[in-house]
Amino acid sequence: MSDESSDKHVERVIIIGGGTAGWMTAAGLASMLGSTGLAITLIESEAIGIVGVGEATLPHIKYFNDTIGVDEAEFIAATSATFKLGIEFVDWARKGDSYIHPFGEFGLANEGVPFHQYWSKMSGALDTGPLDDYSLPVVACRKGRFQRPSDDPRSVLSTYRYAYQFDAMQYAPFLRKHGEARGVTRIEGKVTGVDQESESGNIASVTLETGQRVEGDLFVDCTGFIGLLIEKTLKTGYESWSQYLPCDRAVAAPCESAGPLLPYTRATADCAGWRWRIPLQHRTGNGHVYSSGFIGDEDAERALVDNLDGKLLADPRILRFVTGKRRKLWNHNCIAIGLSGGFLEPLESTSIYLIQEGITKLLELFPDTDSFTVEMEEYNRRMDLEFERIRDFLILHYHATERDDSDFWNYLRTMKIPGSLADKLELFRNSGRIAAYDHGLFLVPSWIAVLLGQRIGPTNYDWRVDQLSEEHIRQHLSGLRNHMEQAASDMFDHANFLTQNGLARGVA
Amino acid sequence: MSSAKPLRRIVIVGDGMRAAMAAAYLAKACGRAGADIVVMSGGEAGKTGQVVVRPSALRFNAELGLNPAELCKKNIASPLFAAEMPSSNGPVTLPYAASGVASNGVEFHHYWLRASQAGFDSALHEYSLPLTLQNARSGIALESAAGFKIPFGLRIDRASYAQLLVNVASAAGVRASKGKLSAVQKLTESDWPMRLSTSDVEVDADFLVDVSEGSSAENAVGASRSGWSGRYLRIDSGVDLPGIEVFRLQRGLTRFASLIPGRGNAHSDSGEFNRIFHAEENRITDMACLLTADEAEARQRPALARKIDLFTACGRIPSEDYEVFQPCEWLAALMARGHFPERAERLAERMPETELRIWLESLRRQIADLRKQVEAA
Repeated sequence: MSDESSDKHVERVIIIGGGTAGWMTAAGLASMLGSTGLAITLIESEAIGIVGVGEATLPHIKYFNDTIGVDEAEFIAATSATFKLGIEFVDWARKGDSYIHPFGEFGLANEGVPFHQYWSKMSGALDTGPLDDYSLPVVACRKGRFQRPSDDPRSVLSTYRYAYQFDAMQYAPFLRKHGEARGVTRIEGKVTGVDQESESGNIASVTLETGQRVEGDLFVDCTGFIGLLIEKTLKTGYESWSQYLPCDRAVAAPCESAGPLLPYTRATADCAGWRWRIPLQHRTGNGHVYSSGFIGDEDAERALVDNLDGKLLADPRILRFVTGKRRKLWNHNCIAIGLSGGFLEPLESTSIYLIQEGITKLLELFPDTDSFTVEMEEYNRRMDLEFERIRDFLILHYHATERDDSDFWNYLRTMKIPGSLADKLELFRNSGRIAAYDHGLFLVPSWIAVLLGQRIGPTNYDWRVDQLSEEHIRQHLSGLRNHMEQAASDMFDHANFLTQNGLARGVA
Repeated sequence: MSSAKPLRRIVIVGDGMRAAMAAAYLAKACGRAGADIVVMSGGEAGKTGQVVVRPSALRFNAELGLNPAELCKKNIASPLFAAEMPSSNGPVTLPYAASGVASNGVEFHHYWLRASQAGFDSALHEYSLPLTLQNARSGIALESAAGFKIPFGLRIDRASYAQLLVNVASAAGVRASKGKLSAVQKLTESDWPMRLSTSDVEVDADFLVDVSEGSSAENAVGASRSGWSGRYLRIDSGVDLPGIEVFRLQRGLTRFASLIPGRGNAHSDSGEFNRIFHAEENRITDMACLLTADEAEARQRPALARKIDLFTACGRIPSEDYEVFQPCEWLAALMARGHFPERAERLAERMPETELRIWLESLRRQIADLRKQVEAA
């Protein structure tokens, strides 16, 4: 915004698009700022379908729901949600491999030395077992168990958090009720025109198919990949990361549930991408993310359908995308939230997290007037950092592989990676240490899970480990392992937990 | 898998409190794994007077068995709830904890700002618990800090602190070698990688940690910057702000201990150390610049310029990776240097104005009552 602007008070927010991003934004703004007199309008068209981004989520969504006053039981009933303790990665480093990236810690640090360093020293011993055995959420996942965490920091039940796997097509309607109850005005209609102020270039209004003109002070673009405002109107530009993450399509299809209800999402590496499996209460969500440069659409669809657990429930549909982000997520008086802002494949369930971060940062930096250059720059700086750090983490899964069974894996294994990731890999390979940062989604336990899961083995362990005798460490590990095993066994079967707590579909 | 071979000998070059801190901590962290810690001291008296220990360094002291309550009882130290910093406008007090209480995820100063702009006359320090306790007697202050769970640092007699650390180091088997370092020789035909010489002795070592106030080792090694290079770690005292000297030593030593590569040098470990060490250095320099430099100079530093701009625009203080100072310290420094927000965060408007005034009045009264109790005690 230029200095010559009139410093008009921001009183009207117009959200274009009513999918997950649109209604999360509307519900978030209405819950947090509705009482300040902010008028929130959402324009959506029933004629335009929604992508229904992110059936699998991260634990942060619970904080979002809690903050805006969503009742967990109502949310679970409305979206047929299940609980999620982590993500299983199958066939990533080698065919036949499996590891879980849990939403929690591994073991307990001792004498200031991280737990995995003790485990590294003893990992050659027969009775040590995999690192997974020392993570309660992983052990619980393998047993199909679930229990809500404890607030008592002394309890092993406090060492994890949980997320949800839910029907994303139902989340938006659920939040619509929530948002409308808090004053959001919904307009049914298709946007056919966008008017910009001649001097500032800011968006002044949008015009609907009916001819209705809707004016606003701040616009949130939740129109999905098309980016109706942020790109088609404001020509913001897009930064592609396809050289690092070449997958550009996904084919998705639901199937009937089969087998026990698992408290985790599965991502199985394939010859030119990977397949997801997300267990909901009433069905299983499936998809195949792939690179069209390495596999055709028909073959990709076949790979998906041939590997379903149960009967196909709907025709597979294909999504096309380019991994990357807008050069500015906030440009002029328009903020792009959701797929209009950028896309990172859902390998680590980050889609809804990025929406949530977009909303949270917008709330923190919400402008008072239309003179908001500083707030906009800070928003873009912080969102850029979020995107870039998640990008590096995703690249790790592809690059740190031993697979050489397809051109796709050969390309990814040998490609040049960002320097920030290369430094992290070198440090871990050398000593099992993780280069930490203060800002960013994935913390040390996540990096440890994926680095070790991808068979990046440190050549040395921290020599301070040797301050304790092998016998002492062995006893410590054994005690911890038994404790995890017992705690997981004492949890509920996942499906029983939903039923017994009145959360099962049709029970609540 | 095997561990990297532990360092056999680490030589610390320096005097007084600085060398004692390094010796005590490294002996504790590395001694049990067999590392021999030798202090090469030039015998210089070093600085005297008092030194400020920031709240974050108390854990470091605790690891060495130094309890703040006992230090205060012995009259070696007194609790500190804020540090007085020099600035171009005179001394500025930066509290170690925020004024008031955050509400609904919004920092207190936004509410105060909103009320001030609506004509509610009060100063931010009237809501400050740390500033209220700053002048209390040690016993009362420590009790209150525990009761209110607010962080505190220490103002401590440098020589006494050094002696306590020397005692810890000696008990952990640290050896002292008198004499000023005159040369560092790289060895290629020996089992040892380096030989350090004074006029009287020669000591072979795997690693050299230089915490001297001067630059004798720096000259001998040929390094030009503070940080970790090869087998040489230099931790200088940094910018002359209260608490920073001990902070730099504490952070540098603990991080070094967590990254020591073993006998073989590892570039990635030193790279990681330097990345964070220099990031912290930048944050400290940002604060020093805010306090003492003019606006033009401050604007040369992007992270600082961002803090000034965003704070002025909407009262928020953006944070970087590896911040050293807490938001409440930045808030005090920014305001002391004449930067005031044009508005409060929009989220602070959620509280109705009447409710806001009643809440602020109640908080102010509680702090005033506490101040009276503290003064009377």
